[in-house]
Amino acid sequence: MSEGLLKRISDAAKAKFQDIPFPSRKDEYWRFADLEAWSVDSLLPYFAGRPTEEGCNGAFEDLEFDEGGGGGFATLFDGQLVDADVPRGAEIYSAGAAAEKFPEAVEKFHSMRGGKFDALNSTRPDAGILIRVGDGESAELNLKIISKLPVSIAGVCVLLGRGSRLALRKTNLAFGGSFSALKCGYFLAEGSKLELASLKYSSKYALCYEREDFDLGAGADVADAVALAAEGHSRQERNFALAQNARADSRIFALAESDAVRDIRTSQIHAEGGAQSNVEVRAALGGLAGLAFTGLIRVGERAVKTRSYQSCRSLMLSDTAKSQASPILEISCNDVACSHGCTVSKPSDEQMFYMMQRGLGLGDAESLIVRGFAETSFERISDMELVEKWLGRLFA
Amino acid sequence: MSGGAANRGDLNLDRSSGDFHYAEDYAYDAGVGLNADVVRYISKVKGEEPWLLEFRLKALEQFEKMKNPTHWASKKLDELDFSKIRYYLAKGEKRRKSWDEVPEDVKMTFERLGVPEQERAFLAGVEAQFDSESAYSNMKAHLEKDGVIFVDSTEGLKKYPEIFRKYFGKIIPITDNKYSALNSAVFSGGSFIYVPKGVKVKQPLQAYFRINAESFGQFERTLIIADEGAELMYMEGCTAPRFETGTLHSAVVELVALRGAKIQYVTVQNWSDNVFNLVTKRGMAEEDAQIRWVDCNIGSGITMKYPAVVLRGERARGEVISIALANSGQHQDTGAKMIHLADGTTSNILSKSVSVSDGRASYRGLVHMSGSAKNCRNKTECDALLINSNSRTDTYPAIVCSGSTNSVQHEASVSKLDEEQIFYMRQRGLGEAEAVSLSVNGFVNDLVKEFPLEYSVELRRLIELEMEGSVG
Repeated sequence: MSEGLLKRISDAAKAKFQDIPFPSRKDEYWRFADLEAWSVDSLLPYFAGRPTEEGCNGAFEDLEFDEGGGGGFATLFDGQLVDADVPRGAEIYSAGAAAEKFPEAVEKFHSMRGGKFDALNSTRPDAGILIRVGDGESAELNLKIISKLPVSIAGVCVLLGRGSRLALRKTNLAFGGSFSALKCGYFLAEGSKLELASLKYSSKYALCYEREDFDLGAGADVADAVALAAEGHSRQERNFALAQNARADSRIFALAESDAVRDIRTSQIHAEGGAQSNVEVRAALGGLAGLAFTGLIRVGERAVKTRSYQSCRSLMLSDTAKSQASPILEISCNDVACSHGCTVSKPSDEQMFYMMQRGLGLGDAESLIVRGFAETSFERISDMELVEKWLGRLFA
Repeated sequence: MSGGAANRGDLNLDRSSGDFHYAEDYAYDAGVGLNADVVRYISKVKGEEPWLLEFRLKALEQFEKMKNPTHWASKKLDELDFSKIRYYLAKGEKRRKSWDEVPEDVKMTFERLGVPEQERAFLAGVEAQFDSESAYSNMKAHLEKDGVIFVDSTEGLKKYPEIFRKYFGKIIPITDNKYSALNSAVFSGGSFIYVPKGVKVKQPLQAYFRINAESFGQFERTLIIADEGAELMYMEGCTAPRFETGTLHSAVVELVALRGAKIQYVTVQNWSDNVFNLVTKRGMAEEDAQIRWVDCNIGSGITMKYPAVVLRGERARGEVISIALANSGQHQDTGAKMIHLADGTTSNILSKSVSVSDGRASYRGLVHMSGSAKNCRNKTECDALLINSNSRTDTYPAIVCSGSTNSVQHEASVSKLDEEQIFYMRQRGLGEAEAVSLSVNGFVNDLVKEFPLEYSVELRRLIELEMEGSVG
């Protein structure tokens, strides 16, 4: 039965992938993206299994994969579960087993509306895992997702039962020569809570597409923090759909120096009332780096008492860096408070002067300011040790 | 709608000042629909030179090639049937300089709209356009002596080609968008203004645009050139009666502020609610020049208007101040664009919108700072107020900024009426409608102050009227 379901999903996705055109400027959500990086010419070498030679064998030196911390761990290598220590309170299933046991959830996970690359992800529904935390249970899990194949596809479906809690620490690594397409879906039942900390690291010669969808039930709560240290082109989509009185707080920090574009797209969809959401994107851009941000807040007609905020701040560290942002509001209900803010600026002269007066060199002062700028992105993560470790790695 | 009952979400709009029209009696009528013959007819009636006909035909070709931008804009644009619109209507009478000489029906139209009183009261010059052609134009004698030119577009291109041809169609080329191409093909009327070096026009110049005929498209074209160190303020107002079929207004406005010049362009748009108001406005500011768009949109069924400033010279400054009031059935899609191309350029965008009943107000903006420009600054603020539970507002800003010396700040907020404020006012004896109206006036007050006094008083009154019946 599970094979039948997965095959049906795969066939439908293949047809969809063929039907959907490659992204174009006419698509509001790809407006600022580096479309060349996502064009057929750019992707063809990966699909032909002949990606660029450069960096293919690169290793992530000094990057230990063992993040420590409590709870269990699981490792996905090119979509296959290769190692796991299932923590108390959680269950982990391979894609095949998940389709057998939770066919509805698997179908829902793959039927989420998306574009061409989401369809690509669903062409391989057998690649990935399902994590489940039962009603009222609590679990901690370290998840490593590694991409090395020329086209590396993985799906992670997370089901949180009523009143459950999951602290998930996620590390994504994409090696050179790999096109990594990762899709994560988090389904939070009533009153459940997810604390998600993600570190994404990719080689200069990798191409990363990642979509994470959060479906929050009534009163569910998500605290999400992402550190992006991708050297290659990357696109990050985070979509929050909030039911009544749900809360989502998502903070993304991107540190970029190479010439690739960090493409971030977020959406906060409020269909029911009383929910709160906040998305903060911060980018420190040096060298030839670029940020392309598109954020959407959509409040439906019935979503009274919604509170929704969004901000995008770019710290420009070089004359050649570029920041592009399009924060969108679509509000169809009057009893709401929504706002967005967007700033682009260099490190404050006064702050630099203050630190240099106290003996810091130009580079150290700037690094300290950027670190301070980054720290607020991790405020809601309770594992301070992990945050320190990540910040230490980012600013090494 | 005009008979509006007081049920919540329905408005009792007062369009009495503009909702009237006189019998149609035109000597020149290009007929219904658009093709090359219509364009040739317009050009012939106007006695234009061959280069201008060629320009028009090229624009028509471009218009036919381009698609409606419905992938981002309102799908309502597809309701426009270009084959049912009349593109040129004129009485064939010469433009008058004396009010007494203006034909009786046209005179009565503008007298009902209060144009002569305004002219006597505070204007330096006025031009009144009735359908396709300018019916009346007058300017104070001392300005003529100073060399100020204030004529309609036909006369401007004929009499002063050496001044106007240099910039005509350069700020907004025919390929810019579908509706600027349409305007370039069939334009008629609009103002051509030139203010010589160092001349500061203290009183405002005004144009008044009036659509009188059903299924008519008005396509005026305005070009304002302020020479080095010159200053002027230009104001335009527009009305149309309400007909059964949709009416199209598609204007192109080009401003050129040369070194150190200042142009302020004020618009109060109060078209009737079946007008498609699709306008392209752009200014180019040279070194130390300033361009300021002050824009108020109250009328029309759908407005799409994004005044832009290209800051081409060092230390140039651009500003857009925008108020939009979207009532039932209206979509005010407005915004601003600031293109920073030179060092030290600054820009400011202030936008406030109020959505009433199922009205929709959208802000669309672009701030672009190229990598070659240094020390540029922009600040953008967009505030939206939603009155009813089915009101809608959208914000679609785009910010592109390169380099570490430039800075951009953008903020937008959406809120509803403050219940405490309403409660406070009602406790002190105000009815709910009055309280809401006062609260809305308070919301837009900062920006209304930016309009010339005569307009700001009128604006406040208009807002009060628009709010009538919105609650209850």
